[in-house]
Amino acid sequence: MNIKEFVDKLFSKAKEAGFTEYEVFYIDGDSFKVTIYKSEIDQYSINSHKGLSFRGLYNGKMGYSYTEVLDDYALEMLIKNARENALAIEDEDVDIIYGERDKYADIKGFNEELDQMKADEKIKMALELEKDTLAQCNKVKNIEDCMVVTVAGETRIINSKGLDLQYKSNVIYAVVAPVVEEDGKVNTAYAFKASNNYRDIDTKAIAKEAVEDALAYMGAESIPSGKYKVIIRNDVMADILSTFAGIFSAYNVQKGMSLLKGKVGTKIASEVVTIIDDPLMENGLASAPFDSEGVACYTKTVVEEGKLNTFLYNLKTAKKDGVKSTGNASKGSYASAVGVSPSNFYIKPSNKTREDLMAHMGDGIFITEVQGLHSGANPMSGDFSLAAKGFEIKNGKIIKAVEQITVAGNFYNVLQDIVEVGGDIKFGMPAGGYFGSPSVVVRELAIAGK
Amino acid sequence: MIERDLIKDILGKALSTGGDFAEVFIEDTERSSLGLVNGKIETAVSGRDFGIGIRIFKGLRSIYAYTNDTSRDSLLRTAYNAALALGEVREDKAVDIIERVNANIHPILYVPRSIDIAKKVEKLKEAYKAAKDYSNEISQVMSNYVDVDQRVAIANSEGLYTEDRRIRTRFAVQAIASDGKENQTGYEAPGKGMGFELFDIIDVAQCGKEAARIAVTMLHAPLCPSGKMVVAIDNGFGGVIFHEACGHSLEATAVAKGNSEFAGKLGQKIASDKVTAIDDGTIPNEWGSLNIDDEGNPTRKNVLIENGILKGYMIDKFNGRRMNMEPTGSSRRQSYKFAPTSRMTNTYIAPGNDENHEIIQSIDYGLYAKKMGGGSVNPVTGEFNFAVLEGYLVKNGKIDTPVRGATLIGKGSEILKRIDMVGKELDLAAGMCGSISGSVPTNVGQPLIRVSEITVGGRE
Repeated sequence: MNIKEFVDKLFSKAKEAGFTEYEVFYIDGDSFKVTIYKSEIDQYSINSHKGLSFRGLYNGKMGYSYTEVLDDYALEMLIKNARENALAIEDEDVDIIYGERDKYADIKGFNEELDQMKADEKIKMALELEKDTLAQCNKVKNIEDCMVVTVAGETRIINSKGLDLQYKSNVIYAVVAPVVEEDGKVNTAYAFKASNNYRDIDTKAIAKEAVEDALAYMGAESIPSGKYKVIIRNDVMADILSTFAGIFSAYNVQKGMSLLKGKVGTKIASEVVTIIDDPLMENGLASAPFDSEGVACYTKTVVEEGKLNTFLYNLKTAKKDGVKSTGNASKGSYASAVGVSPSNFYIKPSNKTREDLMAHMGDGIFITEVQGLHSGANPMSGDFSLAAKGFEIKNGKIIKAVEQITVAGNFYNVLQDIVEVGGDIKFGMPAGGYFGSPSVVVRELAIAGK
Repeated sequence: MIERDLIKDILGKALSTGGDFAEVFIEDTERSSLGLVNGKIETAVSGRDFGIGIRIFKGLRSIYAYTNDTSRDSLLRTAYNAALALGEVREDKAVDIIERVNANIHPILYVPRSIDIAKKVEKLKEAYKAAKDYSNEISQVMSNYVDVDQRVAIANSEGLYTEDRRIRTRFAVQAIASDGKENQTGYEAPGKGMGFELFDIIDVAQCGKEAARIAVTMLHAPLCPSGKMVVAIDNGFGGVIFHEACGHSLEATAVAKGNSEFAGKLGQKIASDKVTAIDDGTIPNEWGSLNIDDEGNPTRKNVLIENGILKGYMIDKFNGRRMNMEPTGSSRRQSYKFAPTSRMTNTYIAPGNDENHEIIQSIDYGLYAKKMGGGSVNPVTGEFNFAVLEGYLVKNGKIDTPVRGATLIGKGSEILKRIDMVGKELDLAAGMCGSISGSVPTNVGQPLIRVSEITVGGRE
């Protein structure tokens, strides 16, 4: 069945079954991946994927169901499951099917030129990336991963209040992870570039970044445990921000899972910290004209010079707080229930260079890699203790590489303790949002080592 | 799920450009989940994933394609497009398949789909109540229920056709303790390869109480000290140390290209004499168990390390080609959206001869890690990390104050040699393991062990 026919049938069945309002969230996408090993294609993958999620109000409660097959059996199952699920819901906060006629921004998330890019050209790009990486220096002994991936997808929301929205986007990314060896000691690092313009993918630059990073820790040692001043590098800070961004979600605030409850209008960070959620950002990999409920997205300053301006809202959490949705409704996957998440979310950069930050810090540790954010960081408490690598800084200069250390603290304290923000903003790989940060200087964090 | 004749045609089409092996993986999965927040059901979602993955090998090249458009035309076109990546089209190969029926070593009593939602809700509420009643410092409780009923059919150009059905149920409860200024959490999440009979063997109220106990204990715990220490790691989820420090580095994914610190070390001593480690996908109804892996091979009990000597790796078909070794029933994938690769199932350190009280008594000053969280590893360098969710200082051979928030780090090859005491009481615990073929259910496990020195990443 095609999507139109399926939705028509589904909606008439929903009405018959007693749903008062209902909606379909549909994704249709395809992806391509090639990985290279020793100048040959190692793995190659071409995929297409469709998924349809149905939700509807039954007895005033929202029931969800989903399917990847659009057949008659699925029609019956979607209605039956959604009704059964709606009947289980006890939460009193009201779910809403949106019907306002918003004005939506015109976002160029879909690049025609990328869409037309041939598989051969992507393979060539991946081969070049491997070649450029091996050519960086003779200490590159192996490549753990070298790949080019493209993903294209279309999101569609159709509901009983007359909404019928569509948004298409695509992206290409290239990743390389070299293994370097010197005096019998091995190390790895990775670098990537993601964009929806394939001309932005500079394989030489990615290769250089990855190899330099991998080589930088040669001869690294642990350091004595203690409290240190710390610079957290841009990409690392972006990942940390991604881990803790949930504290700004109104859902978490309302459920007591964020300590920012009651803090709107107050100072929650140092005055050098401004955090922006910009779903309309050019080249932002989480850019979109509408959110997962069909509400128009817009740009907002969440933290302004240390002061908390707003939480991020979807319709349900906004209604509970008596405010308007900030257009931050999201779904973890097409099949998930609607939640709240940031879009392109970043700490605003200053015009200071990394050298300025090091000079400002004087002595301390420059953290350039952390591991274990999924386990060693607790978004509910803000606590983190992470395996780390980096450099020891004396008088504003790098003196040696450091490894086998942990860096530990609390994210809420880190926000207050950021004393300088750099100008080198960098975004990480998109993950339920697209997170960016410049390097930041933090007054004090606990380092465990020797 | 798909006509056998069509499967044969897909395999034939997949080999039309000179591939030497083709495989079809068909998946039909029903899944349902419930979320209880603050005593009320807030989310209820259920649905069906359905799709087909086609894999082709030609020497050391692997092609993968998936789709959920299951019309004959679309499937043959997908196979054809995948085959094109290998070169010029010659002609479709004739492929015959013969069905093999596997022994079911994981019988299911109550298929989740046939259980009334109300019964599932009851379990969530029971856990909520037990957690909430534990202390008035418990400010929030979240509990989740998930069941998965996955049917797969696997066919390949070597003539195999076989089916399997994997039913899994998991229950999780998280408690938050708060004093208004700080939050701390506790967590319990048992899961088995079972249907609703899971609840005949687990006590959800006990789980809720345990989650609350950890959260409250941690709320009043001082920060953990930092530095190198002797550490005793308890059984159950403590086994995550082996999973991260060594398990991933013994997967062919890392070993085949030499990207593991244990590559080329078969027969060599890589751990202390006390360490015997096993990956066993055949344990009845365990969270990480399967009748067959996702390439159709029956799962096995693979001895990885025996008394410190490296005995074997976990190997999938593709990486086995590069290694010139046979697959070990270890090939897994999250869904049809992933090409399978070598992964762990139920991985554990086997019981030893030390008494638990002797292990604690042997520590003058150190850490007792009672409850562990997740972790990660870089197999090339062996650098790993994993989180302690509930820890206690040990002073003069006695368990002393609880301490909050620490990650343990080290290098796998060094840590394995420092496991110098191994207790007798093996316990397994459920987790989700993420790697290149997606997120798969795995068990970790061990008895109480002692590590003579490890870096503790505290905050004091």
